[in-house]
Amino acid sequence: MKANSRNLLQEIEEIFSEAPSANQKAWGITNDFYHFILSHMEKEGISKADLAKKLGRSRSAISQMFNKNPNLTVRKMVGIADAVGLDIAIVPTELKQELSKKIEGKYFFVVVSAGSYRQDKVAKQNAITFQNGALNLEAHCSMVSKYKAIESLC
Amino acid sequence: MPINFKSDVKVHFCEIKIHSSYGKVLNRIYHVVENGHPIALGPFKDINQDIQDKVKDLISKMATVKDYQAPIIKNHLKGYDFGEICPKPHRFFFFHKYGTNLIFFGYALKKKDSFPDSFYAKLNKEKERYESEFEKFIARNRRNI
Repeated sequence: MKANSRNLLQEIEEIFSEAPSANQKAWGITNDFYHFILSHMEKEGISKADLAKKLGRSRSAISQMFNKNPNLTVRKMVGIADAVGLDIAIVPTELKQELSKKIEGKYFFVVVSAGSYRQDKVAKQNAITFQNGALNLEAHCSMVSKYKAIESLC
Repeated sequence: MPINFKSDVKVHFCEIKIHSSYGKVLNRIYHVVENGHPIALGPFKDINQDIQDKVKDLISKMATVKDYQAPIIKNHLKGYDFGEICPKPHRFFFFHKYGTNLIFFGYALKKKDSFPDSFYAKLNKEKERYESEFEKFIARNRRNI
């Protein structure tokens, strides 16, 4: 193999094996946000047209929010999440890691389901369920009780 | 580095090691190296740093999160069983899933954001060729995979 190609392979390998930079972590938040929103919309059968209607925006404006490099502010994120019935919060990394030990998957956001409180065993005990890699809490829980509920799992 | 790099084998598969902070790897990520050249992810180095960061995070999440979704990821193109990541207009990284392995097998830089059907048909043939090579690769490296 030529030295150039070998170097290129090594560089690619290094990029992925290095710990994420601040910019990569920032993209991680944006990417996770879309993952949760798209998964939730798919599960609940919510179309982009429905989302446009709920947000009172045009379909092209919604398409722009889902385009390749969106200018996504926290306000926009919260607005989109709210419109599809989710509430978001940022969980400290330490807590996220503790949660990851308890259950399979990876968590960055606490995603709160506004209406779909599952009556399963875990939910009855903690008012918390885990679905599709998202942590669901009852929407009417206060932030304090949400964190307490999470802490109780750790 | 790639496993079992024999000089007589023209197609190799390099595994991308994902940083542990992304969590447990559910899908191993490979990229095709043909005749010593990383045909799929070589151009990754040419895109700007910001988009590189975004794609790195996406690929790492595709490895560690089940059914990771993103606006720039399409899992099935034109009814075929391969997908694309399109991080910038006109740039496409093509991948397909083989069991719990995600294989990046192609890259395209085009002036348009869509391709004719013939392009996808040709790409599908390439995918099938690499799939067959990947089966041989697995057989050669069964102990390591």
